[in-house]
Amino acid sequence: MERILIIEDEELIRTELETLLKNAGFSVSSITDFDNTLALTRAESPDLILLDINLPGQDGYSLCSSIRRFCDVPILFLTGRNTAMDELQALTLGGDDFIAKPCNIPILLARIDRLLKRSRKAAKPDCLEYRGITLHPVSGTLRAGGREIELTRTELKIMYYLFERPGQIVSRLDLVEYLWDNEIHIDDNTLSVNVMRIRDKLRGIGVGELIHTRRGMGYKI
Amino acid sequence: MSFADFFRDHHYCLLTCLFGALLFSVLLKLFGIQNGELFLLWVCFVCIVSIYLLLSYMRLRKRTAYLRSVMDSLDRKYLLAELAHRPGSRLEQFYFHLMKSALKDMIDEVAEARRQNGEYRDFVEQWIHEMKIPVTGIRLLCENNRSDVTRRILTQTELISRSVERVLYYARLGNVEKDYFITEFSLKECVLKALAENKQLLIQNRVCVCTENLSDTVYCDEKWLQFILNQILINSVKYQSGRPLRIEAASENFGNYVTLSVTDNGIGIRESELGRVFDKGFVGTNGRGGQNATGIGLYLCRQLCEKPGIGLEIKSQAGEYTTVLLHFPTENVFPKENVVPLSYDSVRLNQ
Repeated sequence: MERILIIEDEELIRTELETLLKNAGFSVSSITDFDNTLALTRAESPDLILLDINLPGQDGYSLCSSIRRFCDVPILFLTGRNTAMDELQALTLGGDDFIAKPCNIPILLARIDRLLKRSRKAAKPDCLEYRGITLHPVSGTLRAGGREIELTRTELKIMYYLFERPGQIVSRLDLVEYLWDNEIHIDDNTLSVNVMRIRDKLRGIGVGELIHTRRGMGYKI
Repeated sequence: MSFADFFRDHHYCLLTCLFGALLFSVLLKLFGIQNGELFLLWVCFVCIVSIYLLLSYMRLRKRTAYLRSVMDSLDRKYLLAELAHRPGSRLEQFYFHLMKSALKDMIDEVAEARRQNGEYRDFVEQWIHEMKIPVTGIRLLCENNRSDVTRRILTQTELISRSVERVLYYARLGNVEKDYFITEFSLKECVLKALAENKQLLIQNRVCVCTENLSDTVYCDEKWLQFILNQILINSVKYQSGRPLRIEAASENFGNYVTLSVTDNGIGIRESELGRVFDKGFVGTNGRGGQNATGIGLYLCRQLCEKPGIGLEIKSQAGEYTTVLLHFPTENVFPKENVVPLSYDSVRLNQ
């Protein structure tokens, strides 16, 4: 599990970020004693640092350049200041990325993910299985009983989301929101149309009953 | 100052001279002076007066020409009294002194107003940055506790951030150069970011967005463009018709400029009002019909577009559609070597 260190002085934001990143599957630690941030950082030796700029004592910029002196862990600036000069300074002092508050959460997670990719070893499994049906996200296909169907990008994302949550009811809103986070901007009706198409395709390979509709609640496999 | 004007200024003096000369002529005549000698005296007198007039006219002309040239060369006209040489004549010195103290007072007044304005602007910016902390907190809280309620809270939070952002950009209008940072970036990324920023609002309004035909890159300040796109998206949502809302963002390269168009199928804008939508405080028929229109969104957009030379245009047909077009000049206008490649994207690509 990758370790992320949060250096942020606003308590609410710090604890919520911790929760968010823990939920996203990271191991999280944070600094609460800002008198010797640098020593604590060195002791933690994290895989990624989330760094605020306005800090008590040493500010984020100088902290960043001090950290750079002993390691090149990815540093993501997360800050309320958002002028061009701040961004420039953050990046020239050795920051790897810069996100302005109030940040968009999926974008924040995506950026963290991308920064970590460089040092990541274990890859995600290249197919998902549920009751003998396998979904191959890379080729965008779904196989059941030796037969295969091709899915469009939207259909693939819908199936991926469902396959990641077998047996759970997935609300339509959650699904739409997930699709928006993945740059597919559709509404509720279009989602229904897509699910209908997927069902048609599934019927073609004999697993037409894979997706259940729960009235007023959502979908479930 | 023409000679005629000068003459008119001195006509009392001349009349006095003439009257005096006549009086003395009569007196001298009574004392028994001959006509010939009297004539000679007249010639002498007229000569003396003319020479005096001519000399003082020339001196005055020189002075006015000098003052005018100083005035013309000045950027800040009110600094005239500080920069011009002191005058010779006592009367002019008196006037000059009056003008100087009047202008000095004005300069102080202007400086004070400037200072207050700057202070106020700094305060607003500071306040906006402070606002971001609780907003970020709320967002994280909602994201960590997903439910229908937090979704609704998120939508409201989006509204707050947008209003706050608008204040920020309004406060910055005055010193645009300070914050403007041109980079090359892809329109698609920028539009996607704007969509992500308004996700809750758009999803709750059941919007479908098509971003298939977005492939060009432009030179601009990314944050600003995102702000402009936010305003456009909000307008689309505000002024939707009964039909399901569809928004299409597309770009096209025309050689020396790239056009980004954002089209919705909303209620449109009346033809008679199209020309005025960018005016400050203009609220059209649509805006008065219950939407909380402020007449400031599009005004800000136009102001932000003006400086970097982005063309902003609106096409619409009432009841059918509204298209906002943004024309970005391409590298012909911004030579490539002057562009600092430092957007998020270019940095990422370089790594």
